Amino acid sequence: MKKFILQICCLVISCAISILLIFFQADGYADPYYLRFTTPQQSSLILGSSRAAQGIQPQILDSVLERADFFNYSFTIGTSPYGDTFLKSIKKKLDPATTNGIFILCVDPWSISNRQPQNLFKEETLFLGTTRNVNQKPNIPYLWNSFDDPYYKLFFNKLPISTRTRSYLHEDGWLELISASDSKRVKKNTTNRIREYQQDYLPYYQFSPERLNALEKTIDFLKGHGNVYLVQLPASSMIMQLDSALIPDFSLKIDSLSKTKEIPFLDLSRDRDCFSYSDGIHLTRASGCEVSRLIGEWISAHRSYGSTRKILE
Amino acid sequence: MLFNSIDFAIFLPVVFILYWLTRRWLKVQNLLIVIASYIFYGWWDWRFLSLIFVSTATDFLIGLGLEKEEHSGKRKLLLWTSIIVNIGILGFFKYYNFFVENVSSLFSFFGSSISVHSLHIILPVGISFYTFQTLSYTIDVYKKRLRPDKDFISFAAFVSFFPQLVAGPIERATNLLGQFHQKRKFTYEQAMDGVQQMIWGFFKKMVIADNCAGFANLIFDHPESYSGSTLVLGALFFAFQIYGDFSGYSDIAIGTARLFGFQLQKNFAYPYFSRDIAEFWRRWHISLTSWFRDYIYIPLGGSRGGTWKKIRNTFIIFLISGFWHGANWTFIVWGALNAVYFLPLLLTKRHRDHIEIVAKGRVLPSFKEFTKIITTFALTLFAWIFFRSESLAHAGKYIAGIFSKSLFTMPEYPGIFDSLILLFLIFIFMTIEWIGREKEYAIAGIAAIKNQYIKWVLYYLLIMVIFLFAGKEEHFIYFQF
Repeated sequence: MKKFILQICCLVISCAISILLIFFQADGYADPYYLRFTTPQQSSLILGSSRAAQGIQPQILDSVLERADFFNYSFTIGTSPYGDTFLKSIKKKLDPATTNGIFILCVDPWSISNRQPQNLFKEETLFLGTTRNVNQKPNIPYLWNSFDDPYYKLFFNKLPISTRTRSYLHEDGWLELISASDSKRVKKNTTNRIREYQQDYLPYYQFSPERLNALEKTIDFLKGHGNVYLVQLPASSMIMQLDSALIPDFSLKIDSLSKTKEIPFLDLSRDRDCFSYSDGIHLTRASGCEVSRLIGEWISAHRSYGSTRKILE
Repeated sequence: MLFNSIDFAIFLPVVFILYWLTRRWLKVQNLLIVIASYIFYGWWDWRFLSLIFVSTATDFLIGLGLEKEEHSGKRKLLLWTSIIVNIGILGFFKYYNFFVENVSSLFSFFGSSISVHSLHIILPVGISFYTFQTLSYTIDVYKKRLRPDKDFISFAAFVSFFPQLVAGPIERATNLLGQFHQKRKFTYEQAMDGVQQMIWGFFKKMVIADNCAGFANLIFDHPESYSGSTLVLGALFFAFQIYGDFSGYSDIAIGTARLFGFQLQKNFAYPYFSRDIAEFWRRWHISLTSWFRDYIYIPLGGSRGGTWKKIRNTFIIFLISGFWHGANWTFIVWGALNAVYFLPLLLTKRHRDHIEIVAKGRVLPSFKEFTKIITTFALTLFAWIFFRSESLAHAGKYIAGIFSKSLFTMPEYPGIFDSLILLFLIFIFMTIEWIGREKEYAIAGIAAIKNQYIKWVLYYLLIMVIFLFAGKEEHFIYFQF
């Protein structure tokens, strides 16, 4: 029996060490979320859904605003709509000692809506709700409990197979889509997205006062650590129409919120035709770069105005 | 508690160590098995424990009563009490809503309506398995094939033995019960064999079954969105999902039992290498088919008697088998289809043409054997469509989709590239099964490798393959039965 137990223990330990070494290989190709849970606490955050995750590039903001601390902590409609779960996670990700952070909160109708029934906050049971430690490398609990693919993908996803759409999550949290961007593929992706939103989302989502309330709480919390800015990113016309169908008075709601909280609001949805999208919703790399630059310049202008106003006062 | 869970990974070594520490005291060991088994079962829902206890206590007492009672009428009464209690529990939890809804539909069909109340009933895990196990005990005692057990703890351990409690193999008292009355001796070879079979079971479940489940669910959930060729692939993925899932569970159960010195019966014997349906049913879910054969088919007369009797008995057995799987017309149709496949062989006395494993002692099958294997597989694949479908309408839609013009187009579905890797893994899996088909389980031959380093490297590689390629965790299919 001793021989049996000893041999089994050796086998288990060998496997455990191998598994740990495999987990260390997880990088930006692993999945669209993992790396965000492996960096230390941050001081300036970009928050929102996948529109923000792909659309806003922290390095551009750093460059325009002459900083080096922007971090994109955005996920998806399903995992990071504004709510208690997202706020709890933000609190874990934010360095509590931050006093002069910049926080860009991307808003769209889906981020303050809920899938029916109204009291169902599904994201509690998803990875954002279940990942307790969001600043650990490697993040073994995330890889063990929330990594959705077979683990061979940790290696396989690194392979540049041209026909596949891949994503790469940068260390600063920006999710870059690596795929062929020919017009045929974009058209197909856009058609699929629109159908998805029309059939799978719009019939079931409804504005959630609880989520709007959670957005307010998030703003209040972040104001204690720096300056907060609201941004509505652009999307294609068809998607914007679906957005409007969900919450027709969305802009009014956000405008009112921005006035109440005395924080600036940048609505880029009006300039939607100036940008290009990989699937009607997510900005392409080039357009994301442009949008990030615009946001950076707008923030810079607001900060200058704010400083000037303080001097005058 | 799932076999492929952290809970079980902690539970098993603890029970294993405590079990062998108490090897000098047989009763203590058996009591430990009962406690461990009840913890294992209660992990799902502690309320289910009362049912297994009732089933255990009823049949234990009836067994004792049958020994004392000589009067045939009273003996029959005791037997029927056991049948009514066990089938009654099973019938209520599994079939109440089915009967209620179908009776209501029948009344509506004739222009009448009745007020019926469906109940929200949770199906206790494993109920179809342990009720049949205890029932077989009572029947064997009644038929005097077996002396009743006078030790309640041993009997309770037999009924609740955790490795095979929730999804079989359905053990006979003549095989398993006696093992609780014998001192178990730890042997290195037996334990290693058990670990080896468990590893193989985990491979089948986590790599083959769980990965196939993803594609099978995707395609079966929306058959209208896919071409005929894709629907065929969907059925193929389901065929390997159910085989990997169920035979994998059996391997883990048998391997785990071996760690504790117990021998459980084989439940799968390479059914997808069968040359006809009769052989398939001798190799698939052996413990259930032999149960039906011994306790229903043979008492009805079996394959003796006139043609109509043979047809009747065959249909009864396959329909009951279908119905055992679930309260849905799809399972009944699945059973009926298998009866239709089986009957020609029975009536032409060709149902025992293939007893030994195909191509025994040879590397490859002959062309004729290969054709038979493919044909038998195709027939079972078609039947699996009913088994997997939510309803007869769903099955009809699926089959209509297959036999359309799009059958000859290239399959197209999300994740097609990943499914190519899976198809390659299935190929490797079936190759290993083919090479090991003359053994108890496919990789049993590893234990015979003399070079210890090679052996342990193979175990290590298998575990790492399981880790790297395991699919998204899915419940064992047979838990729902």
